[in-house]
Amino acid sequence: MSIPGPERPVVLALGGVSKAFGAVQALRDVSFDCRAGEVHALVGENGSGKSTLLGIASGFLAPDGGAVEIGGHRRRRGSPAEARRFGLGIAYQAYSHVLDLSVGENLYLAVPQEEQPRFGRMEEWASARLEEFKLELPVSARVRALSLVQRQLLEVVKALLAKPKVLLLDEPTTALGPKEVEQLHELVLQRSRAGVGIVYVSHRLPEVLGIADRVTVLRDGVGQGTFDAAGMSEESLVALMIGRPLQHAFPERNGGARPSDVLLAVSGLRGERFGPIDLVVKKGEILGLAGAEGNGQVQFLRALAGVERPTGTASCNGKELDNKSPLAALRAGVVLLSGDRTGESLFPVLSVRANTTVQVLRRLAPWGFLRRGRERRTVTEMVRRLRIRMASVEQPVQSLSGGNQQKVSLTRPFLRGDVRVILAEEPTQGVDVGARFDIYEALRAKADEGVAIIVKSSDPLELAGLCDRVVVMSRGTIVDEIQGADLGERRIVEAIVGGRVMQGTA
Amino acid sequence: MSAFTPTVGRAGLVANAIVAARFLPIWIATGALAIVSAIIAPDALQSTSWAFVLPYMTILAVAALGQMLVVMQAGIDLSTPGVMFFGGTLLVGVGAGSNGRLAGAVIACLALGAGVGLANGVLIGVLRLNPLIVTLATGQIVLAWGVKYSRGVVEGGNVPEALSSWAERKPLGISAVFWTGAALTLLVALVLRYTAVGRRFQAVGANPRAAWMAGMHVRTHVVFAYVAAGVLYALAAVLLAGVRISIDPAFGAEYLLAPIAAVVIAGASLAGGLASATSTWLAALALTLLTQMLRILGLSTAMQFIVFGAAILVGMLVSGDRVAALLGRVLRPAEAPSRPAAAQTNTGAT
Repeated sequence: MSIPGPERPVVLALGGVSKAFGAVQALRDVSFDCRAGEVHALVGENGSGKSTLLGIASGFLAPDGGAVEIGGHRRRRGSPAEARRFGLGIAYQAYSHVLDLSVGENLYLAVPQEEQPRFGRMEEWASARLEEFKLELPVSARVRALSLVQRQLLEVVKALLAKPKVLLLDEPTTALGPKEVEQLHELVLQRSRAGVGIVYVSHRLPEVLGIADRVTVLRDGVGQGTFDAAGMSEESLVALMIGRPLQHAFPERNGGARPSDVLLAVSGLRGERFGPIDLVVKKGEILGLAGAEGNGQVQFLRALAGVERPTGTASCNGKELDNKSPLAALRAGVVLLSGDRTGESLFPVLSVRANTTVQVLRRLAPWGFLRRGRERRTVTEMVRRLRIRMASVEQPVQSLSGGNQQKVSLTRPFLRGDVRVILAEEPTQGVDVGARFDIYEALRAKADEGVAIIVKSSDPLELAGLCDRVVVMSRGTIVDEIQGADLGERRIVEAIVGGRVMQGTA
Repeated sequence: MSAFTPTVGRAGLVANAIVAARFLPIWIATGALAIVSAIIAPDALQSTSWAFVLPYMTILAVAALGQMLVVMQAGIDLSTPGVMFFGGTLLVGVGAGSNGRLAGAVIACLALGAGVGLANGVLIGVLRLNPLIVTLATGQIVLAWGVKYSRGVVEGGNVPEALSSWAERKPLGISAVFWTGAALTLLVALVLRYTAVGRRFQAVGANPRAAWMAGMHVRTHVVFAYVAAGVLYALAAVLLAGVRISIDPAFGAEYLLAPIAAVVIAGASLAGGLASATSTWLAALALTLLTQMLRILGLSTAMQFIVFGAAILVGMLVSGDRVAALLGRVLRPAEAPSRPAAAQTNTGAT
């Protein structure tokens, strides 16, 4: 690790940048700089503003205020192309590959036009580049055929091809096992010794402390200071990361579930980005699913709901869970509340009425004919119970606020009598503070009826307040379980950023 | 937070206005067209004119209902002229001028429509091909096949006399064709509004992904839409053949664009899910009335097409999604004052 002296030039400087998305202040007057030859880590919880900061640095987002300087050039228009010209390279968390092109072709596309070799010599050129960065990949293989690990390393190499002065790495190790992390860090350190400034964004504090020279902490869009990594510990970083003011109350837990009543039992479940997972959820229990984004939480829930095909077994109420399709899962009593409300859960152009009763039409329509009066009463009753704010049940759902939209999708498990398990993805994402409590209360009421609930959330505070028990996922497996007196925001965040690595992930 | 906003009163009216806005322009436009017509081309509203307008508007409305079902599944169907032409030639060919064979001829015609619709539905709903290109191709195949078939059998032949005389009948003083179309429109409207099948059909069209996740059979609904559409085109062909009596090479050709136009200016959402059968029926009336008015005004055929095309474009500008979005934007601040999520701090990727 090189300790950069003050004489090193600053290759990336953000001065007092702010950015708001609608009413949400994602960044507030944040300053950040990275010098040539150093590794500067940026840490913070999910949603603390890390990605927004990267977006501004790389020219994809225009800041509302503040200045950006790359390689000594003051940025003017702020386009990604300009940032690249000034010497900024970025490796994205969601990779930028063209999946159906080969490794060589992807590399070819990643360099500026004037540096591209003649098309006929592309493979030869690409092999040379891969060798330069000590990456063993078949040049002619389609990127689609590569493993996630290989794709990640290729993403970094692509960013390095343009010989950037500063390289941004966004959560580069999410998909990697310990051996690959080492391989990646070696590559990063080698470039850093060659004088490249590295901005390393990660939530995995052990890795951060292992590689970084300096660390900057973000919390709720506000910079908490920049520190020498050598003087920091995981504990001191966590203390800086947490501590968001408590904005909302939670419904009371009712003493916990009877331990014998196991409702959902998962054993050895595997899927594309997770597994093997063993998990038990009891009747009347709300289980939280924590973890940094992209560690398989979403895929795990979707496998239970029949949206993605898993291997391994899960059983509900003692019977093996048939999760071939969402319909099969629903028949077994498993309901998924998708985090993508307008895309996967609601029918935006249709009325509140139609959206609410869509899964119980059979009951409301004896002989196939809808009893509109009965339907209306059913919907009105749900509207009252979940406190949905709207003007009329005939109103299109797309004209409701996010919180009320979420409540509309929540009505469905309430109307079905046969629901045993509710899988809620980010139930309060984009929901205003007032509506949040109503949603928590609705989930708790459903749990009290004896339903088992899994809540996937990226908000540790929410998990700590709402759930009876929280499991933490990392790299697709459960790495920690928190309950009882231990259950608190700090403990959850520590588990997430600790990134304890379990061996044996596929 | 206050418990619950009542669903009646001013706010309720506002919400209903948003809902109705989508389908409102066609009613206003039809009224305006009638007034303009009364002033500059009063002949278009004479009873002799209605005797022409009503049967033809019905035929357009029936074809448009088929198109509407497809549009509700976010698709489009360009096989209409092909189905109508081949269907018409089957009526002449299978019917062979004999009243006794009329039933068989009509069944053959409807079966053709269902068959083409099934092919479209499977290619689009199950094999996920692009509806525009699939239906253009199947329409072409069916049309060519119809032309080949018609060479052998149709020359100089008429549809069975029972069909043409039925089409001339006027119960209660209005064409039997008209009553058929009106009843069909009402049926489709009622099924969509009052049955579970209709509700699921709308849901699948509005968001197939969400419908699948809610446990519905998405492919079945899409296939059904194309089959029902094919049958309705065939029915339109039966009515047209009854009115025209004989089949000429251009039979059905004008039903490529007109049904789509009727569906669109009637306010259907091209993204799927929302459409109104009665508004579509009215749009068919408006378009036929417009054609008749232009004809009476003595515009050249070319000019008629230009005005017709322009009317469709204007209709698209002021109907459906655009009106609903506009009105929603105007009315929303008054209706939803709550802060939009100060709590989006946990969206993962900010």
